[in-house]
Amino acid sequence: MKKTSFFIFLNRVLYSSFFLWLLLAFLKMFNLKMEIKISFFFLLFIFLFLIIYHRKILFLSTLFLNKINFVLKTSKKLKFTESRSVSYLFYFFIREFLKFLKGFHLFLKLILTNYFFWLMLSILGVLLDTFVLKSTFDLLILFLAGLWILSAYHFKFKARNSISLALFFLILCPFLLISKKELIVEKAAIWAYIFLVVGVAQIIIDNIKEKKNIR
Amino acid sequence: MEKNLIMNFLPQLFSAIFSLSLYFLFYLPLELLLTEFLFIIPKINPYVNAFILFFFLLFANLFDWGKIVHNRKKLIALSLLIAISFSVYGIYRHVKIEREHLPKIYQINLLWIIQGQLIEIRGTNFGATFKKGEVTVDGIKFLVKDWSENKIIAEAPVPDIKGHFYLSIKTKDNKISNQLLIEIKDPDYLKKYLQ
Repeated sequence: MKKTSFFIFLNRVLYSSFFLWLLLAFLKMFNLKMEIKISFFFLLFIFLFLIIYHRKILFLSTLFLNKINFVLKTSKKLKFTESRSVSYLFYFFIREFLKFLKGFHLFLKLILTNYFFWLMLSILGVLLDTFVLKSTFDLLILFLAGLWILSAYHFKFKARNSISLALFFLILCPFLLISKKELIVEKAAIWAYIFLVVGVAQIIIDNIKEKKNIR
Repeated sequence: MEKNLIMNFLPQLFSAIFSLSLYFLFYLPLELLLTEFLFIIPKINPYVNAFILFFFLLFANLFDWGKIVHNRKKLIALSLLIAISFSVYGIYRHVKIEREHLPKIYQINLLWIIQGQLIEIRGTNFGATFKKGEVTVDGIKFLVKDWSENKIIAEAPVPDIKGHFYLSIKTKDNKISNQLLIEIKDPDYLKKYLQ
């Protein structure tokens, strides 16, 4: 009984901490700062969520790993025995994870040979570099630009795709400048320039190809 | 179904609002008193504030908000409490903005001084090194040796007066700090130690 009431209390704290985080973030939007570390409540929410729903998380992750195994044909049969014991679930999770590791090279092969993965990686990387990372890494920019060129070459993107991305970042700059996000503006300008260069290079290559075809 | 979903989460939303109200009503005035009026502590860490709010949240969750939400009288009382607490926050914010940029002295390394002695004053909002202000004790200006945002080192001049006086700081922008008691002693006081 005591355990149940404690669980109910934790459940209440879980959702109220989430609402408090939302409330504080909402107040911050209107410049009503209270010198409180707002992220504390989000972390608290995550922490309590993990404590309360660890069984379900374990269950779902096991199921997910099992599904990957099934897809990769590393396991012949989809095995799952329903059990209420957490220790058994944990053992099951480890066993399935080891199985997954066994077939990991297949998983890697599947992903690394997929051009769509590289395309997504380059787009997500550009967005991450622009909006999340707080310092500029030249090598990362070069790597992501290379990925974009590779994807553009493989999927036969037209030059206008790169140019429109460049324009997107260029249009973003004045709005970000108004909201005083200088660092993001700097990054956006870098990416605008890179996409513009790639786009122009694509146009030049297309022109050369066209001339060759005419001859 | 949507109504049920809202009704399920409404008590938690109320407990979050209630904890924030308690924080505004009890903690913020205390924080203002400690930091801006009594100058006991400079600035409270945002993590400490979050932790205190967390305790209020735990306290708020001890109540059964499911019942309170359905009771009209209790709901009106709660609304009143929220209104009062937000008014308190408004006053707090007004006072805080007014006072937080004023220079503040938290500590002086000596309780008494004699002429030529160096004193170290610690505090905040003193101004940049290139914007030196004045250190005064009862109208007597001290010779400023070093000036920074949080620390001043000054030398006591030859005073005409002896006794207990208040030391204060005037910044370049004519902002005056709080006053701390300091004793100016006659150098003859040291004679008995030299003999």
